[in-house]
Amino acid sequence: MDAHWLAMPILQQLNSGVLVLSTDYGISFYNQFIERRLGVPLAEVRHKSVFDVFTDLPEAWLKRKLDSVVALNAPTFSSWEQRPYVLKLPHLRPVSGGSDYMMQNCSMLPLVHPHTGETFICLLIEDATDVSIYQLELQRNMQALQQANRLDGLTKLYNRSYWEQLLQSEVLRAKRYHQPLSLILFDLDKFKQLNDDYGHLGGDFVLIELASFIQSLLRESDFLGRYGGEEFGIILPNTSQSGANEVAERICRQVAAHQLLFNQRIIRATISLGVAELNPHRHQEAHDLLQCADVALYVSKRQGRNRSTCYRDDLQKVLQKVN
Amino acid sequence: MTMLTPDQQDALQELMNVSMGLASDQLARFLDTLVHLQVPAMQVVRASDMPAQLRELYADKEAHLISQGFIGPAGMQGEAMLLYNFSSAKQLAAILGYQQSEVSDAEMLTDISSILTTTFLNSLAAQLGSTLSYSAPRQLNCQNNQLVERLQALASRWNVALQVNIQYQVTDYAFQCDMILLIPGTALQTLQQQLDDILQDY
Repeated sequence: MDAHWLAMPILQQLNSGVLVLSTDYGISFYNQFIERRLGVPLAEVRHKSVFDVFTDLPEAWLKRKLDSVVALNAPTFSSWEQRPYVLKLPHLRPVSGGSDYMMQNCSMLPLVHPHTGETFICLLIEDATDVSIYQLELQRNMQALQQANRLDGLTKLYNRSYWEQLLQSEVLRAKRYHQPLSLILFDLDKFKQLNDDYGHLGGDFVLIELASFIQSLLRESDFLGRYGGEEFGIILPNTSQSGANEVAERICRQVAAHQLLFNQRIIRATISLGVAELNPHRHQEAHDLLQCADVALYVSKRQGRNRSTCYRDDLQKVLQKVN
Repeated sequence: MTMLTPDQQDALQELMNVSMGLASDQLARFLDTLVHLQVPAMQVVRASDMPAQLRELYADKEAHLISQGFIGPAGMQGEAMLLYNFSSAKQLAAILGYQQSEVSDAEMLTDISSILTTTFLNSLAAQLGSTLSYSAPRQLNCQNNQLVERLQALASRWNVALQVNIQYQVTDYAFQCDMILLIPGTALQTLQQQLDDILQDY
């Protein structure tokens, strides 16, 4: 079969745009794909400059690209990821498409006329609108997934692993910029008793309610996370121990005064807190700071709960006396 | 696995030198400035050995990896990768003749890579009496330590890697990159055949 006749019908029905330009940017040819989307018959614009026919072309950029194709006799490319489109054309999914114009991958290839030897530049335009939409959805889902991965399922606070990451980076930041950093660890008092009295649903309810109540008492820059079962932590950047202590005392009072209504029963919960400030010389890592806050929290528990304690070096002795 | 014989390797190195000369001439005319490309240091390595060799070179640096596929007749095909280890591609704008504001770093990197790859490989293919077609260049995400993993994944699909270190000097401005041509075993046989044909003529 003589295959020559195939070229034109296939070129016209190809689901990609084909635009052929002379080296001085005049339009020599475009196929049906472009003609229908542009809405201008080829005969009307043949030999006109491509920059007069297609509005909004990035002229300096495109000229540089086209010149490189001719000068280097090598192809050049443009991807929708870097430049959404070269030719401003509509896409065929106006309803579900999302974007206003067709996202495009464009290859620019050197062509030499077989008889005259004249050089032309062929722009192959592929519609990448679908791909760009999937990519966008993927990015959104990845973001949602990342967010979910950081949160505790029950309380919607930061979970332990993410909260510890935050603590680590805040410790590094405080050391680097010589800023104070404090930490509050707190524990829901007699949680086992709550579970026994109100059932596990009641216990969960208290955790959820207190989480959002305490969150509402904090600054935006503080990070509240669920550290363990009924144990929580608050990172307070740019806060000294005395400032953190004020926050801890206030939270302690307000939680004790806060009434929780569960199944027509009023639950009163209290918390015990431990406060520690980063000592950049003695605390090598976030873990060392955590340990100090934990000692202070332990003292609060031992001294009768519903109170806040600041870490001091002699707390270890206090603990020994209590024991 | 067959590797290149010493004769084939010498012939390939010679063809690469000529190609690089032609490519730099083209580049100089296009960029309208003096372009000096050093004789490329070429190394044929097993693709599986490559990540380890590049690990040190690009350790602790912000590296950029651009990949571009190529295909020719008789089973010749492969993937050209360009590795850069600078954090910003802004300086490239001056070389490419772009206004910094109108192009992103990623676009400049893919552009310069495509120009370097296609001019060099076109010249090499012409020496071998052939032509090549190319896919669009893509920037592969390889932040921090992902580069070596990325190379390992790529290397597992290809048999042989031609590692070519290219140094470019454009009048006042020098930059350096590594070009790695990854080719599968079948393409290697085609390349060996083409090299043998050339060697026979001498």
